[in-house]
Amino acid sequence: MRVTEVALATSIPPRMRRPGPGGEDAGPAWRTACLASWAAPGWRVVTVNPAEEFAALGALPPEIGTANAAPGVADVYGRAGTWVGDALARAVSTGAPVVGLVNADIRLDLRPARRAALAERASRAMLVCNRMDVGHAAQAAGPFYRYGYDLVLMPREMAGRLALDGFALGVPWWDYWVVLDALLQDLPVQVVQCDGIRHLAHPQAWNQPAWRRALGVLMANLGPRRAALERLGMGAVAEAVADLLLAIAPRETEGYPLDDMMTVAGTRFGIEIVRLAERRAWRLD
Amino acid sequence: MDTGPWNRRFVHDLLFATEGSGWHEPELKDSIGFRWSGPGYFSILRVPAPAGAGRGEAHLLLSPSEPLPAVVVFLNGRRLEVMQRRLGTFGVLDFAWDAAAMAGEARAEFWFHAERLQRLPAPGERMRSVGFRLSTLAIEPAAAGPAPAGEALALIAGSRFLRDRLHVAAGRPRLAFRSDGEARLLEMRLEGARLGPSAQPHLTLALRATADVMDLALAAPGRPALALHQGVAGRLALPEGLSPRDRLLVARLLATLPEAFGRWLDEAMTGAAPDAELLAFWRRGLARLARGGEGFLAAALADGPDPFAEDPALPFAWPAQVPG
Repeated sequence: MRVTEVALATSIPPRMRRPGPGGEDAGPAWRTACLASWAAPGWRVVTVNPAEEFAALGALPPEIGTANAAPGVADVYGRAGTWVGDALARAVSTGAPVVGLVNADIRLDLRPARRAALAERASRAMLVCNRMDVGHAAQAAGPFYRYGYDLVLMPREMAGRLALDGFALGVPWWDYWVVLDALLQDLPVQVVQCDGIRHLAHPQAWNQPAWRRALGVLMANLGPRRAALERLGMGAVAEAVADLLLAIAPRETEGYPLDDMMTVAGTRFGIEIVRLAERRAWRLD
Repeated sequence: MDTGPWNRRFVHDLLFATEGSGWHEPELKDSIGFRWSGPGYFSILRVPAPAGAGRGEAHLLLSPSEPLPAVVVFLNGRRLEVMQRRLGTFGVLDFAWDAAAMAGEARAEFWFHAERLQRLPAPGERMRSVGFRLSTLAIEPAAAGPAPAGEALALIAGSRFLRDRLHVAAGRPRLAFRSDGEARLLEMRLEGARLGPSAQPHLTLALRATADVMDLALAAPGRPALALHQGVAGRLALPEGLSPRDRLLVARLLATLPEAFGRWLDEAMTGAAPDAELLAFWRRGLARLARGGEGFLAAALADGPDPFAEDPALPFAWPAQVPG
């Protein structure tokens, strides 16, 4: 029997809508394709959802395990969901040497050699993978989206060192935070672009209050470790922006124009984190 | 070292500060950062790059109906063959280079020459000339690259020696291009230059290139010109009549000329419509001259007179007359 080398956690949504040719909804077919693409010999997947959501998920491939999500996401972000730390802990609990998170709208078109290369490298470093956007399911080439990480793999021991409280799947910032958290602890992080990590492109419409709330979580985590940020050599602008965000994130409601300032400063700080991560960037053939 | 299926990738995001010229301020649209090229046809990016052969991708942001813009790409004065493809909202320029393109170069100097410009309003401002929108430049070495330097201490000591005892500065360059029959001529006036401890209010360097041969005349006001020659093999002949230390300073000055040329490009190409092939010819010629200067330095420091024998505070001594 083959042991599990990689355990991935995700949170499959009950529905997925994506614009398709002729105005049809390509979401259901893409969702099915994503679900079918994750598991492979040595790769195991668990979806972590609120208990009340499972009935709406429909039939899942038998390779995908299920787990009930810890409560509380709706209280913070206004809709039911899964805590990132909860999901990652489910992957860790499998005992696999490599664990990770995959966003539910990512299709992994990875031949065995690529899976092996990812698993081998992720046993030594955190790999944060950009997605390749495609316009339709049959497309095999597209641009990489550099400002986000849709598949994250890491050694199991590293997962235990990350502070993930307050971040939820489907809400921005958790992918930036895992990068920053690891680097602040001098843990190795590499950015990976691989054309087998595919995403059916669709208009992005972030919920701005949730975006700012999750940014606030990031800054609350960063605050006690602000001094360590200097060691990363992000530069004077990045540090100044971090200081601004540390000051205003807990006080967003104190008046004009703190929410706008958070949006602008947060955007800049986010791309600073991307730049920091891309100091170690790789392409996987 | 075999990297297997992994390729190291160096990403340069135009949202951040760039080294070079010919770019408008950074913008962000639909979560994609970019800079318009302009206001001239000629845009320069200087980036750290690994030695040896490599490949690159320039990602150009496009509007849905926008055709791929025609852009000629040079690396260190060598025109690169560019393949274009469209990837979603991006146009991608793919190019590759051989080891010779990076030989002796501390950084990769990319030139982008846009075929056409258009007038568009800047966000909330006046009209401006723009070429294309560059989002990122990604470069990959073709091989794993050299092993980490085992001579780090020697490199550090050498750098300090060059800085402290053979300090030179090319100053602010002004350039004029001419031709004489088959020969191409370049006059470089270097204002505020320095040779060792001696400030040079200005130096004039007249270069004459024919085939693979370069003749140079280096002069200071009121001084006879020093004649130099670089042959087909790249070997540099420096004039007699200079002290060993001053010959090293002249060789060092020659080694700084590509960088000085780059500074001139940054200043002179704003809004210009240059002859890119002519600029590339001189960029390659100056790089070859710099390698000749560095070769002379290496040979002289290794086998010549003791480089520590002369007092580094002695002023640069122009010969009273140039040997015939």
